[in-house]
Amino acid sequence: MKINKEKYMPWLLVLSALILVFGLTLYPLFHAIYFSARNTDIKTGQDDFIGLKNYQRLLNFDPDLADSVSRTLMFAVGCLSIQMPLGLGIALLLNREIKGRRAFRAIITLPLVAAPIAIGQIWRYMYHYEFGVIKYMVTLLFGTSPNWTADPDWALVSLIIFDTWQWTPFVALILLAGLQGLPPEPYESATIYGASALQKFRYITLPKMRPLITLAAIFRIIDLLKTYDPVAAITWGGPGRATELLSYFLYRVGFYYFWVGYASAISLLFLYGVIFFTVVALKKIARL
Amino acid sequence: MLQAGSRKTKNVVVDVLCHFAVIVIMVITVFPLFWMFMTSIKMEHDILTLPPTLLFEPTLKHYYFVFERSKFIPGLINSLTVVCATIAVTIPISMLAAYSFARFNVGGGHLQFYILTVRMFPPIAAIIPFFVIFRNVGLLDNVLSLVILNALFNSPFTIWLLYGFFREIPLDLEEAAMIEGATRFGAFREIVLPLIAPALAVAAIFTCLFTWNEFLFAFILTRSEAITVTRVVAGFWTERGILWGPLSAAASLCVVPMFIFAMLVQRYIVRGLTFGAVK
Repeated sequence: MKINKEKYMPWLLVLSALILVFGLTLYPLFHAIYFSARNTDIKTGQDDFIGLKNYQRLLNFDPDLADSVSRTLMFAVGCLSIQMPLGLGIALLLNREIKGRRAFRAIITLPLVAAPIAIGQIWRYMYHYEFGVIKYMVTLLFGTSPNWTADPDWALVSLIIFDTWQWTPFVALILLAGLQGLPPEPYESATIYGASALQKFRYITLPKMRPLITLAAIFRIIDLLKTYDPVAAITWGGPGRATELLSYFLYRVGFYYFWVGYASAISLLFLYGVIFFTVVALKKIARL
Repeated sequence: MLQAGSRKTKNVVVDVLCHFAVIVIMVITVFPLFWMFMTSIKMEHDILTLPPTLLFEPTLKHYYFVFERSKFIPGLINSLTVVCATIAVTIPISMLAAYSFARFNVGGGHLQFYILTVRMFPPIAAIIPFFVIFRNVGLLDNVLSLVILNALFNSPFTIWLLYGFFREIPLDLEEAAMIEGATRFGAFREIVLPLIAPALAVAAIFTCLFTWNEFLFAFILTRSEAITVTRVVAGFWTERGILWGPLSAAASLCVVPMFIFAMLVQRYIVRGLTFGAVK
């Protein structure tokens, strides 16, 4: 064989990708590390070395930062705890013999490919405290309705509902793919032994689906932590700061106040946080 | 499944409930899209009214507004430029890398893993250093900066997706060709490329989807010259409030082309969205 001749070829093939990926991640990374030790403010032109002061400020729990982190976690937990069971439910539904199943499957992919900034702003209109169709219909159904995005207590809920509308199909489609790959034999023998539908679900479906449920959840968590577009589309972080998720907070620090130094410090921690989670999570997936 | 009498009626009930649930979910899924379209053909007084109107005199004025008085056309040209350039950069690079990973296991999996983590970066955390860099080299408000970032953020995805497809092509085919005297490049071109071509199309369509829908980079890096469609769609607010009609028209124009693409890759949508992890 021509193994020797081909010794360097594999590396040659990945070279362009490596230049793209490493070049474009490592250089900005060092840039960010450099800025995180300065009080760079591109509006006033201030730019001095301040050592670890940015990190000090950050770890002293800048209250706005702490709030945005806890809001992000609340948002992520809220979304996940609705989307996972709902997605599983829809997948089970789609796995049955239902008329128009293919059309249904096609329709639920639509939210996934709609630009969040475009469809999000439509939701902004639907959530309108005065003319919004959602408020109108909720009032029609329940007699009363919150003011959704105009109410600090409901604004985050509004975002959770929007995200659920857009991303539950993602969970459903992944789990559906899993359900369709399950072998029929365990179900057949369970039927022979008189197991109820619930028992089959509990003792056959759930254990077999666990890897895929985990996978879907991990994908969702990674995306939820970085949520930016829906906030920019629907609430602009408001009312007040009620929906200022971490990404949006970071946007304000970096591009509204132009505190590039401080923003870099937060970015780095955010980046490391997500990468740490991703690495742990991917290792888990690899083991599944 | 064969079941006794009472079970049968129970099954009918379950069946009816399931169909009912399907209808409810379909309505909820489609409603915002329906409402977007309806709003885009309503007059202002039908948009800002209570109760919301279902019957009204339709108008195309908002579409005229979008094309004539907003920056939608330049935005469209920029978006198409960014999408095409991103695909042109990403797909060949990813194809070579994915082939190398699939056939030679370069870097023993670690490299591939590192590349994947790039996709997990929160874009907002990555954008700050890029903003400063692009500002220093004068690339702000330039489509090139968007192409660079979209290529960076999409290549991990396309590499992984194509990696999965390459792994499905049996090694025997190539080896047989090589034993018969073909070079590796020849075997790649004659045997592998035709087999991987549909996958390249799928990867290109997904890249198109993500790049077209991308908002954050466009929002931060462009001001007027290089604004994209998503940036235009986000720009319909004035001192007197948001122009809901033109906004809905522009949003419809932004969203509908991607629906068509999504239908084209319907079979691969799960595989695409999970980077090839779920087939």
